[in-house]
Amino acid sequence: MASILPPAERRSVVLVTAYAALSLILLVVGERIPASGLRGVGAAVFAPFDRIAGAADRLFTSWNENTKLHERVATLEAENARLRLEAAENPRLRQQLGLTAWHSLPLKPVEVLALGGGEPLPDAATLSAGRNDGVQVGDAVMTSDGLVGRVTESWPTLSRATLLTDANQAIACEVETTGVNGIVRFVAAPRPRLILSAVAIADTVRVGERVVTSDLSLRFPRGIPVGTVTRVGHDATGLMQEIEITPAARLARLRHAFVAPGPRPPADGIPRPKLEFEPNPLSGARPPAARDSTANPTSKKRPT
Amino acid sequence: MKALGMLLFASLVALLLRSTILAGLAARGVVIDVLVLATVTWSLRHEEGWGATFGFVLGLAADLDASHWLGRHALALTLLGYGVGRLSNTLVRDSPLTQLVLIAVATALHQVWVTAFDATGGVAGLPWFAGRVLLATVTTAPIGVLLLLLTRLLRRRHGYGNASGSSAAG
Repeated sequence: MASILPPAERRSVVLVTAYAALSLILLVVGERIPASGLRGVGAAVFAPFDRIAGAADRLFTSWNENTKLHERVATLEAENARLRLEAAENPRLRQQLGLTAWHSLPLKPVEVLALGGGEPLPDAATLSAGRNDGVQVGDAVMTSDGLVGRVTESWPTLSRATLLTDANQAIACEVETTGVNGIVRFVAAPRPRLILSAVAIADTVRVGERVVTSDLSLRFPRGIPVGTVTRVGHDATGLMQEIEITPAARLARLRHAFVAPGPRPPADGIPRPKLEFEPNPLSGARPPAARDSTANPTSKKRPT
Repeated sequence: MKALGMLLFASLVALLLRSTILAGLAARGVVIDVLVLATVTWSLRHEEGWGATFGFVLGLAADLDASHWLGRHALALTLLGYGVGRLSNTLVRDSPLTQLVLIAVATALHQVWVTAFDATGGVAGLPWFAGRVLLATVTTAPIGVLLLLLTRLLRRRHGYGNASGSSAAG
């Protein structure tokens, strides 16, 4: 076929055949190729441009955002005053009930430089902090609204987070009010949505209830808001519930996020989460964790 | 060398747009397939050899940006770049209608290919699948033609010429 074509066209045919063959090979063996290094180089190359594009975008929307933030600050200040009062009595009550103390998470603010991956919903994000800033693979990524994803690749100055919208991500969660356990995952078809699956048919879940990360999660600290139940149905087998949830975080517009360290596997045991999420760390109202652990070591055990 | 520089620059701009502004729009349902737009534009101007090369480079970069399926965009955009490049020899490339049809067909093909990797819902997923392809097509094609027209007006000359290869000054 190629021999009957003029030289220039023959060259194009050879070229496109080579590219197509290479693409097919990548499709077959691509998952085995360690592409993290290449992504790191790409992220480093694009980071300055992403920062410029992000700055222009922020400048454009800063007026509206400023107004909204002022309103939010006023609301949060009022709520904070109320929470301070409750926080003063909460440690004492938890101690009396033999519960573990709440630990605030050391949240590291990061900038979301770029969104990447899938369409229409992005399934990955490039973050402005990396290993040098203490960001490690496995750390949870969240906004003030809720969970966004998890750090899956970390380079010296940048990192990459896989978002909730990645179909390969599964998160152990529970319904906040009832403690019903399930697994949150993203389903692309028949339409893109987050679902809470593996929920027993006998469990009661109502529309409007909040879903948070579970104590059973080995990757995420407990209590991070994930979403709100919007529809309750059955899965294809009819044996389990399939619950649709709306993400708490606005994944469509991520500019800033926080990285919270994920549970680090202990050297001498099975990895288990030890942290609980406290949205507003309240200085002076929290009992030191060390005192609790020494005062009543058995009370640290949680029911499974 | 200049063409290579231009190729890398155009790829950079397309990827930057895709990962910033267009990602936000796509999440709101407005999918503009900038990868196809860039590949078709490039192939119309530089014909099949460079079209395929541009498609491959841009596709590979987009694949690396995604978490899975390395080679997915690269294969589709390579073939689209080559196909549009070949067609540009026989079509009136400056015609908005030609550009509209080319971008629409290329977007539909690309979206069908890419969406097929996510399609796990069987027949139940077909309406969403069709809707997504249709939405991307009707959004990308007119915007692409408008951008091409705008570019041509700003440059005050015909960008691509006609089937005979001449490019008359406007």
